[in-house]
Amino acid sequence: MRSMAIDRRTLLKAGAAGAFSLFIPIVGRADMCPAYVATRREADGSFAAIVIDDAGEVLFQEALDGRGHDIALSPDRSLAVFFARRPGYFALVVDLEGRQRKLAFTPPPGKHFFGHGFFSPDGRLLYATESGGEDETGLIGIYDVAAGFIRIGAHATRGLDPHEALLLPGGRTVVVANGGMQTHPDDERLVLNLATMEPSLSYIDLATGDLVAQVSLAADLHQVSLRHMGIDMSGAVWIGGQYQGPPTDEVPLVVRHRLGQDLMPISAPAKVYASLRQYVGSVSANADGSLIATTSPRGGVVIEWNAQTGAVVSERTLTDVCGVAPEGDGFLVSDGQGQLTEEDGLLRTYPQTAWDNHLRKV
Amino acid sequence: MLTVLPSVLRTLVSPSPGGGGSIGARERGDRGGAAAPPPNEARPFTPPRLRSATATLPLQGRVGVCVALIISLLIAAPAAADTTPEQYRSIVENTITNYLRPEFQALAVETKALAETMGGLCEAPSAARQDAAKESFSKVLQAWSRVEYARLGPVIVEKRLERFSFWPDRKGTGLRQTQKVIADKDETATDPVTLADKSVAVQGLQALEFILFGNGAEALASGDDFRCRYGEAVTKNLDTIANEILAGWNDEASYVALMRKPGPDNAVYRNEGEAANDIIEMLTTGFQFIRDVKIGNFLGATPEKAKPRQAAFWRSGKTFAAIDANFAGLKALWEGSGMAAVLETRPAASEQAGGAGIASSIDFEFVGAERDFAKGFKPLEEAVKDPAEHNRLGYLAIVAGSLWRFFAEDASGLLGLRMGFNALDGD
Repeated sequence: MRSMAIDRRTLLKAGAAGAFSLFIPIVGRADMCPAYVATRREADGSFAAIVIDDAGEVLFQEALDGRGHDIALSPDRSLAVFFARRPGYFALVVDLEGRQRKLAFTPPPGKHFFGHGFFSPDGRLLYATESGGEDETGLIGIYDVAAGFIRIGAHATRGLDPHEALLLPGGRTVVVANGGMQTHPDDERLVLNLATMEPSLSYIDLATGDLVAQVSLAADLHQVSLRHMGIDMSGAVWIGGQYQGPPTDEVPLVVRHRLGQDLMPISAPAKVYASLRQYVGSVSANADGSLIATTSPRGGVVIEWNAQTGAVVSERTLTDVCGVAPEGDGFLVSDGQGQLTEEDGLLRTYPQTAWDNHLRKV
Repeated sequence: MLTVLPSVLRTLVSPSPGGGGSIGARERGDRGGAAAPPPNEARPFTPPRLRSATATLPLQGRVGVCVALIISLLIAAPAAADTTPEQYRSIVENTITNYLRPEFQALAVETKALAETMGGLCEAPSAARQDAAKESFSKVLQAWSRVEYARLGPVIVEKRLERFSFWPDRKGTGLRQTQKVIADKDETATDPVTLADKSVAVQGLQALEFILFGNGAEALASGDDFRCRYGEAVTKNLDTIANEILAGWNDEASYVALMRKPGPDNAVYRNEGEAANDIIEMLTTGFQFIRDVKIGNFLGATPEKAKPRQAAFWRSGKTFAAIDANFAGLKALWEGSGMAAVLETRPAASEQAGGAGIASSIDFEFVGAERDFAKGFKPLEEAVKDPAEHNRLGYLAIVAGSLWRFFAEDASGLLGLRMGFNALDGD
């Protein structure tokens, strides 16, 4: 099968050259190149890292020791790091070119991953959100890729419960969402500090670890746990929250932020926020950053927002939908029923399986 | 909003990060359940279908036997249909009528008595009156512990839950703030109206426990004017909150209307199943909390590792009584909800137990816990150091874990109340 493994960039180059592609047997859109990565629960209850092509065809998969969450892709798209879901105790590195597992690594003793991370622009370092230890300080662990992903240090996130972290355009600053939920060390789903939680968004200098800026929501919204993010065409960060207060409260769950300004809750018709059921599971920008999609598995909805105006562009219902990534001008979404769905309809179903919370475009 | 734990998952994939953990590990070992998927991973419940059973029957020869088998299967599994909206509705209605309203009514009765007893102590301080106030406190704690995991509706608005009971408090915020109120003689804490606007940590059960049982409490008997007036304000505040919650449950047009009338325009419940899920969630959250936080916080893997000062209500010596009342309250919820009757209509899926079997297993576990509490425990500090008592407390954690599993996995699955794969807190 190695000979079939045509690297995506090679193919693109070939396509640009305008000749070689004629000799590649392409059936429909199934170009057999890695296009998306995600983790999934298989029909037998096991968990797997999955690599699919544009048509949703599984190109290859690797078993995971437990449930996965998000994936970090190296800048050259040769490596994908599949993180365990929080509290995560492993990460699996997959070689997308060789189409096989490369290695697995773990956080240091006493610490755990939160399921999210990203590569440095030069691809030499991997960063992962972590916490652990007595004070439960949020950290971004730094791992040396060439050395086999050994941990060489960490930056403080200046908050509890760091979740997703994204590199800003320019590649020098990372924005991290501190979810603010203090959870039981043995049961990471039991929230122990509902009355006092202080979620925040921290901007951290990647080189020095210095805090560049930190913002929080108004005090009356302190139970909106800031967790997932996407970056629009203007560089603004869109954050999806999970509200820990009463289900009857009307709370803005989608918030936008530009450095130097306050966090700005996006106003939307009450029905739109109500349909999210106080829970945003994933956030993504489309390819050109003109649209932002927020998904809610609890509400079973995908909401698309105009990144410039903040207006709701579309609402779709889809049971247990969560994973979202750019596709064409819009988005591809995945759900807990094994489905991959495009803007104009179902792309592919894998019965008896369940796609995990996140989907990443290679 | 099922907050179920993935610790089984964690033990499968990683070394323990140290600390805690032992209770869960013992439970898994004892029940041999390590291979079972944790409930949040479990597959959506699919009702058993007759055709899948008959399809495996040998079709060649001995037709008579086959026919007999098929007929017996038809008789054995007549109720393969889904749980009906009416059944969900009955669970919700029964819970409102038989658990939420009467239990919060009972709490309001006790808070009223407490406020009166505390007023009596301040009016004419004496050792006997302080004892009476302590006794009233214990009764409120008992009534509260029976509803502690009913964390929905009127309980969780306006920070009522946290204001009534601020625990766990891992940083000791409540103690520090309560001591400061007393040291500063902060008069705003002596009026229940202004007290209600202060930190949630200085206006509830934990503050009152310190006032009545903490350092300097003995002065109440001979007349500590400020401490007593602060205590009285706390008791009035507790009474106000209890009555607000009760009024909320009794208001036909308020939260119960949402529970009774699910639909597309309902802000909380789209269908009957979601409302019923909130009922079962009280049970799953409750047992998870009892095992991992209430007991797990102080017990430790061995007597040497126990930390009794991390237990809830150690100052008043009511740690075990409160946990006993937690179990008793959840049992009242289980029985009052009529969930067992609905479960009994659910047939077994493949080799797993059916609803009737699960219901009787749940009853069995409740009785086990009751029996253990009935034998009594030594005082907390002694009990955790005594290997035999430590084992008994570990057993209670196992019972809580079993009940959690029965509700979160078996009962939820049989009733068709699984959460979506991607809908967990914090993911």
